Amino acid sequence: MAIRLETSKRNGIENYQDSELSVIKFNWLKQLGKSHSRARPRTDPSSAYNCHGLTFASRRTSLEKSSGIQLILKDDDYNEITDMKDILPGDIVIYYSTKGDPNHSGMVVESGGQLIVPLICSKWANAGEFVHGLRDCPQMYGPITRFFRCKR
Amino acid sequence: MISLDRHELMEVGQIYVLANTPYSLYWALLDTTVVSRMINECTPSELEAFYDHITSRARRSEISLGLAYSVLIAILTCDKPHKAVDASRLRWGLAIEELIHKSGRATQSQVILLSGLQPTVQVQEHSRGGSGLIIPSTANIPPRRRV
Repeated sequence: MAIRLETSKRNGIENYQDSELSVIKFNWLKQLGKSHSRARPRTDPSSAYNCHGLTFASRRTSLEKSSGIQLILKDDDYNEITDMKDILPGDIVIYYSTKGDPNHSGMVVESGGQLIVPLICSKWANAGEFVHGLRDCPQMYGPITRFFRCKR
Repeated sequence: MISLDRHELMEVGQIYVLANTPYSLYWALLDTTVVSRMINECTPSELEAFYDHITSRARRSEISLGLAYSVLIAILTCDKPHKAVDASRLRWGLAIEELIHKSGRATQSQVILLSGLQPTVQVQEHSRGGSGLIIPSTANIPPRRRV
C-alpha cells in the first residue's frame, strides 16, 4: 500500500507501506543491533517506514527507488556538503554503493567538537532506528557517503 | 543440490531483513558465498525447482525469503540457459530482474561466423557476462566454426 507523497514541486514519489511485522521477525530484528555494539538503539523494529522514509518522509512510509531519492534532492533544493568540517546536525547523509545506488540514508544528530566523524540517526530497514557513528552500521549499505543540506 | 550451513543461511536472512532497497539487496546477495555456490554448483533446473518450491509456500520466513532472492539472482546471473522465471512472486523480484538487465549482464550474445566473404550472425540465447557481441579477431576462420 502507498500514501500520497510529493516533493515540494508536487512531483509524486513512489512509496510503500509494509504490513505488520511477525513476532519472529520482530525478535530477529531486535537481535541485529547487537552486532554493532556501539550503535545505540533508539526505537523498536517497525515495518512502517525504512531509512529513506525516516530521512525524507517523516517516518510515514518506505521509499525504495533511487529515482525518487534523486527527485527529492533536486526538487527540495538539497546541496551537497563536500567538506566534512562543515557538517551540522540536521544535515542528511546518503550511503551509496559503488554503482551509485542510494542504499541507505540518515540524519546527522551530532558533529564537530570531539567527534572525528558525525553521529547519525538512521533506520536499518525494518529494524529500529539507531544512533551510530558514520560507519558503524551494516557494511552492505555501501562504502560511499555523501552529505546534503536543504538550502531552503 | 548444495548443502548450506547455518552461517550461510543466517547471512542471507540477515541481508534480506537489513536491505532498504532492491538494489542493496541485490548487490549484497551477489557478494555472498550462497549465491556464488548456487551459480557454480547447481544446475539451472535445480535452481528453478527450488525457486518454485520456496516461492509457493504460503508462509515464508526471513531466511527462506533471503534464499528465494538468492536463487532468483543465481538463476538470472548464471551463464547457463534456463527457463523464464516468474520474478514477480517476490516483492522486489521484478526490480532486481530489471537491475540485472540494466547492469550490463547480457541476456543473449551474437556470434558472428565467417563463411567465405559473407559473415553469418547467429544469436545465442541466455549467454551472460559478455558484451553481447563476439567479434572474431581474424578473417581466416573455417566456415561454420564458432568463434
